Amino acid sequence: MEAFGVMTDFERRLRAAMESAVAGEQPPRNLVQQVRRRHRWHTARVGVAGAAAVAVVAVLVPVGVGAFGHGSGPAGRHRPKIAPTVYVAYPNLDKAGTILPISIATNTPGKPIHLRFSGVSVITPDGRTLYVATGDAVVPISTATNTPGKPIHIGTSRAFEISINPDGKTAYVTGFLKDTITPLNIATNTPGKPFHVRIGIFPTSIAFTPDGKTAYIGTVGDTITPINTATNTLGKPVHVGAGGDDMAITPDGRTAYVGGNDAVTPISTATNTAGKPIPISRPESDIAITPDGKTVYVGSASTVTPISTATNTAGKPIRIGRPVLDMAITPDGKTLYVANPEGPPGAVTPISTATNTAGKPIRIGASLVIAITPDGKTLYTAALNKVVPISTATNTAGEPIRHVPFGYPREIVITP
Amino acid sequence: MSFEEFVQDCSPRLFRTALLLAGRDRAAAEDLLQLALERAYRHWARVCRTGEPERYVQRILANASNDRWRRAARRPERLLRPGDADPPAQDQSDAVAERDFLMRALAALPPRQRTVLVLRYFNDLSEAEIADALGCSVGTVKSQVSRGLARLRDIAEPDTEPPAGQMWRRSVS
Repeated sequence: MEAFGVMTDFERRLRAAMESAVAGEQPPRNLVQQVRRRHRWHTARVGVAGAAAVAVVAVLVPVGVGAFGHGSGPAGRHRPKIAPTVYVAYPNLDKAGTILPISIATNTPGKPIHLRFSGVSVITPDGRTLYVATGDAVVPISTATNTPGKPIHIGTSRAFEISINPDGKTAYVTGFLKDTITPLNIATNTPGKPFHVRIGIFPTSIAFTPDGKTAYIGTVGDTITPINTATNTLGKPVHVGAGGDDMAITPDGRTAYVGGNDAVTPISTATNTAGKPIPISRPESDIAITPDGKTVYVGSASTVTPISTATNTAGKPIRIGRPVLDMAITPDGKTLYVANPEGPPGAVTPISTATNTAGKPIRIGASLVIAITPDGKTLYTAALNKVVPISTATNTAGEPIRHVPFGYPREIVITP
Repeated sequence: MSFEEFVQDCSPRLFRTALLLAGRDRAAAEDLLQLALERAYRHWARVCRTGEPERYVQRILANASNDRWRRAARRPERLLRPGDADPPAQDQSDAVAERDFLMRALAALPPRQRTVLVLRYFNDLSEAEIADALGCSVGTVKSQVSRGLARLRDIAEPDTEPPAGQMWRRSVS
């Protein structure tokens, strides 16, 4: 009741009246089925509208060469002398957040960094700063000393996703409560003026083209919106069908693949037009593109589906048999690793990208998030009570790193 | 957390909020809740990553409720005077009667005032949290809460005279 201070007698009576008016009321028993039915209806309806919308989208900025997409991490340009470190974010620990640094050289955990909340974390391309979204602020953490700097307040919009332009100068922070994007000057750690995403609500994902000239914002409104990063102006939204808000951009920057509930939609970044949706059987949970840009892997409930970027056709789904939560591709592009949170027991499954076949699962318990070191030699996966290093050469798990915070790890990021 | 687990755990609380937002119209509340959950279901993996799926759904619920009532408000309105709500039944105890009376008065409030009162007093949200949820300023929330409370008091306690000539509107649902 601290939110109220002292309530008047009338306020107390009103509160009691509300509680008593709905006490014991239960929602219908088949609510999940009703929601699914409604969803199918909505998907069918939006599919028709989406096909019509494709014809009216605008031309924006053509893009160049490089590789940068959601979840792929910034490509390192400068490599200062910073101890190679794995950072694991634990959002919920008694309503606080913890970032655990782990030394890659010794596989030992450092002193935990305590924050109010630890949401999405990203590291600048030069590796010097880790930015963590913590609700109404973004906290910069020096990777040299692992100490948090002064929080950068972005208003009350609740920072959800943060992504850094490949030029290393600006970060975009999405605020999911007020549908805003706040640009952040990395050199000075000062926020710019937030701007609103006009179409769709809840900006949830950001992907920059490799040249950094265009950013795409995914929203719950089933659209992605291009942003001219030089002027921070929004282009016309591209309709991508139900669920489209997670995306990855090919290394040549020409195509953004946007995941959805029943299809993955390729978007030409030159014309900002949606191509024909590529059907997938279950809602997408993660998207990864091989470094050579030839294959897009789409993780979903129990399969990983390869899509050829040359023909935009889906290959035979690779059965994993467990929900796919997170995926990572080795820098040489030879192996795709898939995190399976559920068991029994949870595992990390390697998939050969040459043959698209799953190897023997590496059983480590519920694997929730994974990341691969820049040299490609080690994969780190965080489970409920441990972090496990896995050798990518032998696909064997090393000694688990224990003494980690209790709670669900949200993300792993590794210094470049 | 799977979507099914979330619905299992949180839907009773969300449904009660929806009921209050819909003026205790059960069908409207079910529809409202379905709408909010379907939006969340579409993006479940991402909604989970917010770490606060219930707050996310609550926000959709509150905004969808406002939108719905805004549309309903385009229909003809009737004027509701202070003390104009149906009188409480004689055989009920005073407390029960007053509660029932207050709920009728709450249902007669303009949608935005009703929403802020439900979020504040039923969902225990602070003014800042309500402002976040509805995408408005804290000042707007404060004024809506205070106007809503004043109107409720006037309707529920008709002995206190409103300023001369002032009448309360409500949409016909």
